[in-house]
Amino acid sequence: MREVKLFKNQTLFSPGEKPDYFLEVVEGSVKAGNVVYGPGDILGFVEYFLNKPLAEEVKVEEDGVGEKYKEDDVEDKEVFKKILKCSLEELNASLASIATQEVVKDLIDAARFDALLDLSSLNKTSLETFDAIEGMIKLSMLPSLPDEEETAYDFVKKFKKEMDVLQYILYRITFVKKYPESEHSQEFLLEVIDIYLKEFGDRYGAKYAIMLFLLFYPDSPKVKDVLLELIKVLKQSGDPEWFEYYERLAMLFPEVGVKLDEIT
Amino acid sequence: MRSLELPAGSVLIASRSYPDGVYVVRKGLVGLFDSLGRLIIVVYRDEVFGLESISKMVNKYVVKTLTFAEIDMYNLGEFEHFLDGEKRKNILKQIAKWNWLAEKRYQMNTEDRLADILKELKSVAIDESYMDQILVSLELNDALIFERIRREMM
Repeated sequence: MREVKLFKNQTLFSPGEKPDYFLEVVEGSVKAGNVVYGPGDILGFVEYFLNKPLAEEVKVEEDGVGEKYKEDDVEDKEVFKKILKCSLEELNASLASIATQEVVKDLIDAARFDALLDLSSLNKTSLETFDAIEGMIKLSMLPSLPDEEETAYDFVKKFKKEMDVLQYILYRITFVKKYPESEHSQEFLLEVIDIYLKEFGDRYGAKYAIMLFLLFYPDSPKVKDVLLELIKVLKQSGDPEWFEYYERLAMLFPEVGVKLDEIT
Repeated sequence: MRSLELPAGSVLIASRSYPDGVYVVRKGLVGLFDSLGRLIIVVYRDEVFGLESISKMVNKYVVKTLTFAEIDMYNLGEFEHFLDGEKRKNILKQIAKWNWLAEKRYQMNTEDRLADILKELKSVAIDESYMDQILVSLELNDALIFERIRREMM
């Protein structure tokens, strides 16, 4: 094991390179593709052991310290345990997100299909259908926001709901799409879902916002609540599929014991 | 150490539980299933699972036999006792392989994922007689697709 200093913007690995060591971030941060890794994270582990090329460039994001490891370093039992723990955590996360992603994809498809069915329903007058389409089109005409995240956040925060509630929603959705990794984005989207459901009683808008949430934050601790909202919306739409999704949700989150009462 | 002889479809580690010890496959095949019961990774002879017990972690997937299997189960003390440097390296190589496979299969739909696993089984010359047992141990939906892909590939 060798301790090394990490300097901002330093390239640790280039794309296509087969790493001859793997690195633990001890202090500071390192970016691989769009993901930022911090203290305790290990990079290049899989590629090093399998002698495979890295897909993305790995650069230092913030000055710090790293520890370079080679396979002989696992002679030290504690180093072995540390590396094993990190790699198992990664495996656990991958296997858990495969399940979440597949269910989420199913639910998103169902939500889209359901929205289309609602639009083409024979019970609606052409004017109502037109209104619904116009509402969806308006959602696609999102306003622009400043390029700097904090400035954009201040701008969105300053816009009050009383001024124009639809614009209020559009600014929030635009912010989420532009800065999905921002700490404010989940909170904005949850607020939008809440407005659609509680203030507007608008299933189309609610589904749209729920779909965005599921797309961007499938691993959020709030995903269960959002999926429950989607199931409620499906149920209110008279879509019998809701029960299938409920069963899948209960399977995904057995530890919370989703009860039928929560959605009836 | 305890030796276990298990039929296809036996659950060795349930999802979100602490493994009782470390397991080594001696004969047959074992599968790692995601929390919806879908096969993601195949565990072969001499490979090790239940390593979460070394790190005192909860595993988030299900470990189930895919065929009749003979498995040695070690409690943590026993396993660590003979864990020399070479074995540790092999364990890390194995976990790196699983991470790589999980990441790759994470991008795939059900059909592609099962076709990929089948290709892997063929490449390691898995005995054809195992296939029926594997189908039994898979969830119904996975099994139907798996069977169709198998016929296409034959």
